[in-house]
Amino acid sequence: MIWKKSDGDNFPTQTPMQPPPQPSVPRSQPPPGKDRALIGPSIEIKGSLSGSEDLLVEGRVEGKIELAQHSVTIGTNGHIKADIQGRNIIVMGEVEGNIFGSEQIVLRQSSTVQGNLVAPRVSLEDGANFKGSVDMTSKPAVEAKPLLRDNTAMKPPSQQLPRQDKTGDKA
Amino acid sequence: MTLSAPRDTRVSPAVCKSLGLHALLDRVRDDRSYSILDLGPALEANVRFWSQFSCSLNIHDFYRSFRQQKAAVVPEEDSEETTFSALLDFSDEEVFDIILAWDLFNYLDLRELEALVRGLSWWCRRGTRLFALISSLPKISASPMVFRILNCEQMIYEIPTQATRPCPCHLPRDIARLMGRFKVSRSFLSRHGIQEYVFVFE
Repeated sequence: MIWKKSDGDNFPTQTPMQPPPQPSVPRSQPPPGKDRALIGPSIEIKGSLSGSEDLLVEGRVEGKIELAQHSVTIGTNGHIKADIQGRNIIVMGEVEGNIFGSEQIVLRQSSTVQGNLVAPRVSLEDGANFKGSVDMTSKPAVEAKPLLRDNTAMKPPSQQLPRQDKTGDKA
Repeated sequence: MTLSAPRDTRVSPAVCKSLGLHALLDRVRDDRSYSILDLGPALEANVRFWSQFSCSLNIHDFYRSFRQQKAAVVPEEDSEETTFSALLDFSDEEVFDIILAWDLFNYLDLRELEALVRGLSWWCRRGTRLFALISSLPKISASPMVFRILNCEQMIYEIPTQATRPCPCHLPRDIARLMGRFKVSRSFLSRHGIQEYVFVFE
């Protein structure tokens, strides 16, 4: 049985999971009335974004977004081609890039995301168009060690790189 | 003139016990984390299920990507190889421990299936497990079913549409031949005419 992060050897309960509580505001729009910086729909930024307040992006950003201690929301009109770093990250628009959340990442139904998600908690609503990986490993330093391949299969020509087959284990 | 909402053609989902899923999870060691490749669509329930464990989950809606790629590419002799090579392009260091193919095999012909298995093999190591559901019914849903994991032995089977298509009904001997280094570890025939397979890469 797989090691569980939360409670050791217990299997998950057989009780079907309850649907998450519905928010009081429509999920297609960010909650109103919260102070944060806004990048409006007509704004396009190329480069690195950093700061010390929460951010809502409804425009286009290409480059990097670094708000490690703050929340980043990509609104339904937001188009991001960048890695995003934040505390809580909520995506309702389009993101092409890796997302790093120190607390959690939420992909809403309307989101389209291509990239890797790294966060202790990841929530993905049905209907979200997601392609990539979700890293939910609890011990990054250990898990960072790559698994070693025991494989004589031929890599497809387009992917073939000079490398040596190896044997071993990840643990 | 009045407009009516489009008719919902989805079939009611059903909760089913899956001995295959149980076998897939039960035989995994308990002292490490896992790298998982899910060839189905991104689903909230499945992400939540896997989040209980220490794992890296790679979600790749293969059928959808395959259909899009196939529609865009002019058929050639080596089109399967080219297509699958482009679709299965992960980080060079990636090695999967568990591959969830769900009912994808029912939507591929034998040539495509062989190309898929060959492509996947590159990202496997000895002991990698592959979970597949192969139908023996004459007809299947026009598009792959949606599987939501409830727990280690129960899933919700959701048929996305009432439209059907003929099932290729891959024979066990063809599957065994095409799977290459994937050998059948466990196999269960469910009441719904679906054979659940757990393959192990050797």
